[in-house]
Amino acid sequence: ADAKALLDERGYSGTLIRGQNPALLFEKAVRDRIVESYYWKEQCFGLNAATLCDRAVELTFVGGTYGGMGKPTPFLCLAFKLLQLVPEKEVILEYLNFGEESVDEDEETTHGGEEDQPRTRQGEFKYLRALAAFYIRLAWEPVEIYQTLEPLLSDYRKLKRRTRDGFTLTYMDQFVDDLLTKDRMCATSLWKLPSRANLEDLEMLEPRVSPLGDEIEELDTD
Amino acid sequence: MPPKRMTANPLKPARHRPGKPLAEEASEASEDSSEEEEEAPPKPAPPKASSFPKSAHQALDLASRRRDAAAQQEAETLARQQLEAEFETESEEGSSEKGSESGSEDESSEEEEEEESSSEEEAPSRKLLRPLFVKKGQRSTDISAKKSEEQVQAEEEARRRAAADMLVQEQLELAAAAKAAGKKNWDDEDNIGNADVIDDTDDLDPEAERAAWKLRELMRIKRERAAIEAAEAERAEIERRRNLTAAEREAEDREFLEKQKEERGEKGNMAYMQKYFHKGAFFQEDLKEQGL
Repeated sequence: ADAKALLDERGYSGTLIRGQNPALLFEKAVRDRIVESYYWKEQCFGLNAATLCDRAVELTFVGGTYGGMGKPTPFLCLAFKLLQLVPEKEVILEYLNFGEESVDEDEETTHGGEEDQPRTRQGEFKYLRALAAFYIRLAWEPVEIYQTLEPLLSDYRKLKRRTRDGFTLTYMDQFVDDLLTKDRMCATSLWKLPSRANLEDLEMLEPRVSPLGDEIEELDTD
Repeated sequence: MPPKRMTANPLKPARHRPGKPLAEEASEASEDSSEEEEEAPPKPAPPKASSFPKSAHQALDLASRRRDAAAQQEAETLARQQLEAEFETESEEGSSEKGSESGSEDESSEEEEEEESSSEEEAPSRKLLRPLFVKKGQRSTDISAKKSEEQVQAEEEARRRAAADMLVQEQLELAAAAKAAGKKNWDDEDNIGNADVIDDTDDLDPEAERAAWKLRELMRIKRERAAIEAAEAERAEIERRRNLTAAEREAEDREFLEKQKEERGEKGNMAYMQKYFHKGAFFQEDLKEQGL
């Protein structure tokens, strides 16, 4: 419920991520800001995976810290909460493809808007998806990261992003691309991901087939 | 009520300070015992019955004193109707009063003793009427007037407090309503700058969005390809150099360095006794932009 065990670096005995206390994925300064913020204290107490969903659907922007004092966004606070909870893989996949049309025989009903168009598997809650993507980038193994996040590169919905001085517009695929390539995102240093080329050489991954793959081949043959 | 000075030391009578009125003494004594019967203002402290037999060396015992006080009250109710001025009565009751009077011999801050003893301790004279102890509830002196004043004040304060509570209650309700209306507390300090300017609704223009996405996707693919090609080229270069002999490698290096020097310009030689000025390794692009 409360984060005392998580923040106590010596006495942590919960689930480890890569052999480490999950909270250490955020820097100390950022952790302190999160834990002292009102959003964390009011809204993030005693959340579990289900109630976190409720909070996440109320998100309206992504971002790290903003303002001169480094105030954390609700997005960041919820991400920290996810790190504390360390939900299971299935739960995160649910967050990701929230609202996937029930083509597969899932007995769970998917609420949120189900899109009939087959262009992408999109649910209504893109910020929840972004949150799940952020968590995946932090917590999972490289192969799984690539495999799970690359389908999101075809989701071109708009996202509002809060920077230090204001808001900017970005897109979901841009966000995911930044997660995969940049070093620092949303006030956290993303741990170093082996590049896709490395993984392909090690034959853990197939070379990426882009959704535009067909068109590119046509261009190439021209 | 706790003693005025919060010490265990016995209270000594106030010192005489020349020029200061004695009224402080009287007020102090009256504040000490809240239940003390208000005596007539100019009346001095009740005289201690130091001359009374068997009084000076009684052991102090609160329980016994209390018992004695209770017994005393009973005795008084019985003896109330007796308006005798005889001493015999007093001496008879003296035995029961023993405990209380010994207590009263102490410093007069004991509440219980004052009540009973004050009325008993009058210097008795045959001619005077024996002072009658009237129970607190049945007294009708100026105290009641004062107390009614206090009551009035208390009521006023209660009313004021009630009004303040009402105000606080209203404010709390307003806050709750605002919260319920969707204003989030953690956003209070935010100045939501251009949050409304940026619009993140989708499907405003599906074609344009799709086109933008295609552009981004193509850029990403291009970037990946460029990275792959650069890696390939570097590997090829390394292979090539390995296949050269050492002499050929040195020849190539020398050529490369000379080319670099030419590009840099032949202004390297410094004048005699000039200070060594290094341009700095960083900010080269900025310098070039500014034309330095």
